[in-house]
Amino acid sequence: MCPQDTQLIRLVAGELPEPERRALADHIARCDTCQARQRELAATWDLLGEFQVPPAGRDLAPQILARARRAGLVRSAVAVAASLVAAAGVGIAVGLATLPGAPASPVAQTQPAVTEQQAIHAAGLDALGAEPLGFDELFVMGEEPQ
Amino acid sequence: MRLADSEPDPAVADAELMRQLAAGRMEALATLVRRHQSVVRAVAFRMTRRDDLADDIVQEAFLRVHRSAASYYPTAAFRTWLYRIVSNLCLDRLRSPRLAALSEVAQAPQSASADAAALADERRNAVQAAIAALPERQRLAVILHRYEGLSHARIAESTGWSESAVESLLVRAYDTLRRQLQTFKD
Repeated sequence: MCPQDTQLIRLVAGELPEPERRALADHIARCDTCQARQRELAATWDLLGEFQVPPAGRDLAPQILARARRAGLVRSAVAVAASLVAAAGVGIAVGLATLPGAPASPVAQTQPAVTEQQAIHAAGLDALGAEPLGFDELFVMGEEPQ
Repeated sequence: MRLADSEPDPAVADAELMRQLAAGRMEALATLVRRHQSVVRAVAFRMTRRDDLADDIVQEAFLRVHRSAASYYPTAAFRTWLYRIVSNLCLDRLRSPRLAALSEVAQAPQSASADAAALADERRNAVQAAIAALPERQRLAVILHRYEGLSHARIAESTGWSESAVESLLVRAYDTLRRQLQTFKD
């Protein structure tokens, strides 16, 4: 039985395991139609080899490293800022909660505790330009008291 | 077995470099770039036929490697993951409207020439033009298959497409290329 095109492609590309390759080769040897199909495909395969890639003009590693270091510095700076804000947020919430006679603040009540890890993760999302912004996920403002 | 599937696999070394990169060692990134940039560039150049775009894609691919180092887990070979990154980047870049005319620009002249060198140039241009004229996914499938030596299964793994989708893309692509390049076959 004549093979499907995908089998011929695998044959020409050298992808077939030996038993399958041999079986296909045996069929092709007896089938004029499949011989022509294989010949056409092999000729196309060889011709495609003419598409050579010109060598790169330069080594891109120094430029990539410079950009990566700059991006890393930006992420570090944002992470430091984020942890400071997170610490300030926690400090405010704790301060509000511990004021003598102070009513329970809706912000303090609704504001979940933010760990430094969460703040850094949020800063990371911001650095990648993720939407919604990381900080928006963490600092959801509660409703004003009536 | 295809050469690219059976060649010595530096997966352990690449995974170790990613671990080092996650720990902040930038020389690990330099090693990864020097080891893999020619492969990335080859795919990018064949997809776009533009040196500037190819260089841009190389840089962006490794910046993504850098950004992902902390969360990288070697469930597959590093090269497979890298092919996924560069495939996505190429397809994204090609969706840019200013590149829409790429295939039109790439048509090679069909006139015969007695000069062997000129004929070789025409053949080369025709091959590049024929590949550039393929729909993007067919083009990418052919590039990964014919030039990167990936099997159908590895292409599926590298692109996220099903194996049956890869088969279909390659059958259509090679059939189109066979017809387009009929004139240039011996």
